[in-house]
Amino acid sequence: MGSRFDFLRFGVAVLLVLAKVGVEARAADVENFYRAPYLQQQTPHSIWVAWRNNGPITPVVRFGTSRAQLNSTVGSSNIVVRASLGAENQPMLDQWKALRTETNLALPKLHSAPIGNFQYEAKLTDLQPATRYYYAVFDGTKRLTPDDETYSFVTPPTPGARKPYRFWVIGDGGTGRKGQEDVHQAMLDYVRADKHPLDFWLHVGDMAYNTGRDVEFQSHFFRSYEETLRSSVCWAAIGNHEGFTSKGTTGVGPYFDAYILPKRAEAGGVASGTEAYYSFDHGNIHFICLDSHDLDRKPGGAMAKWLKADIEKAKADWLIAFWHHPPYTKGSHDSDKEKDLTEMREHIMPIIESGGVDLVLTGHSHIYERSMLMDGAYATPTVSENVILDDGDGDPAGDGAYRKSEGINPHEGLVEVVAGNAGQTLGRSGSSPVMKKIFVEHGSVIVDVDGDTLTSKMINGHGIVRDMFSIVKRGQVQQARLALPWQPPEYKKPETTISSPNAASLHYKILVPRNAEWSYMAGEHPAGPTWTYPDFDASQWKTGKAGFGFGDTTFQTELTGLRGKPSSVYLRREFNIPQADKITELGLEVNYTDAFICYLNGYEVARVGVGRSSGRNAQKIKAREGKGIVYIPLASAQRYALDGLNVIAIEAHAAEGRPDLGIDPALFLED
Amino acid sequence: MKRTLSPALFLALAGWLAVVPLAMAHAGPEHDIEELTDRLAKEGESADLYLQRAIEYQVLGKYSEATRDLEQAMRFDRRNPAIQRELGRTYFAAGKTNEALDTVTRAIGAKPADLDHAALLVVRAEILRARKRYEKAADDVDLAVHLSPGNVEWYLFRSQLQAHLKQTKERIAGLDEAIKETGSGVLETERVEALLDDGQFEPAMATIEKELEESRWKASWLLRRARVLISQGKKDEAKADLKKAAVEIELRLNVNTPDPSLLADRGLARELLGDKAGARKDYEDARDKGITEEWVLERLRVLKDKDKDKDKDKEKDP
Repeated sequence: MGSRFDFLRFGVAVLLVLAKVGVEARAADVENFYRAPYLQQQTPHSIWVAWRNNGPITPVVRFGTSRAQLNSTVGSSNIVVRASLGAENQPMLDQWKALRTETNLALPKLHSAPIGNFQYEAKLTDLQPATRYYYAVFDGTKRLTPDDETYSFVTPPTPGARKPYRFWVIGDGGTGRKGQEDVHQAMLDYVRADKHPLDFWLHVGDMAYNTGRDVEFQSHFFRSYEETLRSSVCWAAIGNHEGFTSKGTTGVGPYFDAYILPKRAEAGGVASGTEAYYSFDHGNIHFICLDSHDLDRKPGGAMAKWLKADIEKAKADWLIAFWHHPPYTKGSHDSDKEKDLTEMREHIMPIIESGGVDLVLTGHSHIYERSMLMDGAYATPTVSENVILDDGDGDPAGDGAYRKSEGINPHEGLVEVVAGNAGQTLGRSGSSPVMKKIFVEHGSVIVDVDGDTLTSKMINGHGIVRDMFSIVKRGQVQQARLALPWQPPEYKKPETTISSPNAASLHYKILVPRNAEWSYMAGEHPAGPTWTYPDFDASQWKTGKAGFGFGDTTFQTELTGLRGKPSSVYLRREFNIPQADKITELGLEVNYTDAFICYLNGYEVARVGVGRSSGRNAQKIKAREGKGIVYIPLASAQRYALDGLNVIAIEAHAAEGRPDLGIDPALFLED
Repeated sequence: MKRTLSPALFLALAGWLAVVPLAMAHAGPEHDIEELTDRLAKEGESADLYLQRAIEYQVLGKYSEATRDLEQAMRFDRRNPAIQRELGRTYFAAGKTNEALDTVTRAIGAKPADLDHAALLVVRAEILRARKRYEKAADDVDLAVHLSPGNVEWYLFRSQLQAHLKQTKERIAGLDEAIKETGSGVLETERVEALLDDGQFEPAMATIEKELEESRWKASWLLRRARVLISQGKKDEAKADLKKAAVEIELRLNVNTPDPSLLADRGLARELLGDKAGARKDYEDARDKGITEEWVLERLRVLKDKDKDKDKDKEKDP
């Protein structure tokens, strides 16, 4: 067993070194910013550049058509500033207290952003269509962005123009884990090799796991896609995970702080009056984004009425709609069982299809699924009979592209893509009968539109094209419904599904390393809960290096000889957090026998194997069945963490009659 | 016996172990419920965990389980407006309107912050509308939009309640204010409806002509123009518009699975063209497929009443 522990320690050390390298490399990229510059709400004549700093600056954006001549300027008086300044009696660092001036307090508020964050939003206007522009962000006269050609963008051509366009589609990627990074890198490699960069991209939701908090946006979205965000606009749809903290009904929350989306038809279409759903034009394509998460989906609701009005006015060659909850899926979610998905199918899809939409892009279900050319599948459960118009694979090199008539025509069929495979853990529950291709692997979708042809490819995390289909809109096509179309094979769920294991987040920092020194008490129980409090005096306790225990393995601090073999051990250790409101997650990596309770600053944040009560009164202690190190996120730790000094305390217990006791913890922070 | 693991195998295992809690958290609502149940057992009961589990039950349409969890959540955080609102909505979805009304009214009485207060008022208004207490519902939504301006759904809801109450002037004034606040195209259209209901055909016509010029699909605007033309006695012109609208709607309707909003439009075209039976069927089908808009229900009531009158006349004079 000692040998096993040695290997575990070696492995964890390697993981931690890798994680640390990742964190430091990323920190260097963004040293002049809290949130590096990113592009928003692009039109042929304008674009927004947004970014954040810790504390105020004198913001200036310079731009021009040559990297050497940035001869247009947006000065600070024309830049929108939002700030997070905390509440009056909220504890905060002195440097942030000083920012609570009358002028700063009058600024529009950032919701839930770390205190001291200032967000700057500059609108670059009077741009020429289809033109490359370079830009740079300054603090007064000091240049903050490097003189680098990646800080540039190409404006869209005038609406209706038929040119080749490329956009990227991802969903459910915001984990900060390796799967997300692989998918992003695979896209970058693909477009580089293809010498055809992105014009823009769509995110179909769940970009900031787990609850869409501002710090999760920062670590799982803005940091992860920084390179792509600075040169292409991400048009976003709200996912249910963003929905924990941002509400479509009010337009308030970190999601709405992060994005600048059209409310008054600034980028084309009908004014929605809200950033929760909107539309925009790009060349000869009209895009429609819906909030499938928390708004009324019924046909009489404001969103469905707007959708109908917007589609009825759209005059582009192509109509593409995107949102989070898929109307058809049997991935990690089931569209026959879940209300949000069923309602999108029953209420929204009829408007989409009677309006002549060509492609629907969604996420939520952590899988890649792609339908045949279909129309009118609104029944629950979904059936394929008489709703499939072409049951081929749509691949020009295979069964041939899907065919539709020129222009926008109702009920000539659309393809639905579930692209919820950009990083989150994958899953599959069955086979939707309307699907042609199903892949349980990480990846993303690249769509090319060139005149009358749309081509969509799914590129997996290794850069391999796993699926391709085309839709060609030419001449007049008579569609026929297939009474008995092809169906995907029935899916048999394996006994155990372990899909795409991911390494730990690259954004972890070590707060208490393995083998760190702790204060400990064994062989007796502390009186009451005060031993878990930050101000407890533990000077009478012993100190030793983790792990602690006895039994059939070797521990750094052996607990034998303390009034026999103790059945419990109590640990405490202080550690520092520079800014508590930046924490995404605190977690323990711990090996233990048999059970433990963990406290942060006196509050219980994890309980494993202890049925009731604590300390000397701990009851129903279960013998641990598994072995080895596990990662345990500390629930609500963000709520109890303090700026500066914090205390973690752990009580470990052996189950009755067990011959060993052990606890070997390390503490991590994700920010 | 000593067993050894290679470092590479360890890394794979450690990675898997690290991801297990997240994997459980993202494998659909059933799995989320399992995980939350597990966390409730391990971490102890809390309002937050019960609320999260209730939301997952709602997604699955399991309202009694959702209700039970929200009631448990209330035990731990009685004054949390989000829990109270969800509980009110869940009672309402489950058909328990008394409990829904009590819960939401109590929550409103606790004087929550403006945003929460507004959201609670709108939930109460939905319950009151279902009870046909339109005036009180309109008051609640009116207060909600003043407490938290800018919500298109709420402005639309208020307008529809005012339409039912025939508060035409207040409706138009409210929509003017709402359009200024949001710029919403849906509210612009609603304003045209309000102008038509108020007999203000000229200002309505200006918008209608502009929309007809700009729209690819024109049926809904042709129907509005036909209403103006009928009121001006221009029956032939109206009939031409109605026929054009009907052709376009037929083209867009999937016969097997029609879009209910188009069914409602076809119902209106048929009614104005004199096909009352066809209109009634379209309105009924639209309603059965989820259309709850007040004007559709109103037209349906009118047509039903007329049919009843006809039946009575037949009985009197067979």
